[in-house]
Amino acid sequence: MKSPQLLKLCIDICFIMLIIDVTFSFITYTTFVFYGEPFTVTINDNQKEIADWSFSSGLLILSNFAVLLLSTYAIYLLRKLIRSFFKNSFFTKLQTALFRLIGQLIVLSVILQFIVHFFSTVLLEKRGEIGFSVASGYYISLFILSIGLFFIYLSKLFEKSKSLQEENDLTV
Amino acid sequence: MSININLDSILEKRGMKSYELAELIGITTANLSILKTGKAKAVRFSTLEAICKALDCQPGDILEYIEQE
Repeated sequence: MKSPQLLKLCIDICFIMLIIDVTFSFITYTTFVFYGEPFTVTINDNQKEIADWSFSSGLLILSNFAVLLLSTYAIYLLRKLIRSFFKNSFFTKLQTALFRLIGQLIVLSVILQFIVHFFSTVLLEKRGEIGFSVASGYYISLFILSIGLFFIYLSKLFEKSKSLQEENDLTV
Repeated sequence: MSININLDSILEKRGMKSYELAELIGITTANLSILKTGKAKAVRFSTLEAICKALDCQPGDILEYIEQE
């Protein structure tokens, strides 16, 4: 079976960019925490700006950073998973576990992102907002959530495939 | 497993070694060992046919069902 070179390249680039993002976000957040104004931070894909340091804004920043860390960890595990395919061994325990964990991380990050989005509106704009809109990009979140659930399903398929492979190997 | 493989006793009766049978039926000695030790999950009809032909016996002579609690 041909190795997924292009996929590996895409994931590697994605991982490097996420690492840069994590580093700069960390620097920005710590600068804001220690110096406050005139520094400001933006969360929710630059949609909301936080200018004042308070417990609630700190919590929002922390949650936003947690989403970023979860995504980075998911991409790191995906890199590890893709690399395991290069050894030409399939349906291993590691691959099944990685598929499940990546799926869970993606689902968790989407849920956390939704919570951050909701509470950032409540805390920063002092109003509640819940709804579904095509224009606001909710469908992208739904798509990412589907990808996460698909990964979890894929781990179950890998488990089934492993038992089928074992059966095939033990057929004389 | 409740299916018992009586290959050892038939081989002994025929005075044949495992590697000779493996060579005759065209499977590896490792696979024949899997079959003899009862680790095999399935046996192909073609393998069973080859074993029966080589040992001049019936499938029932090789495979035996034993009820387990």
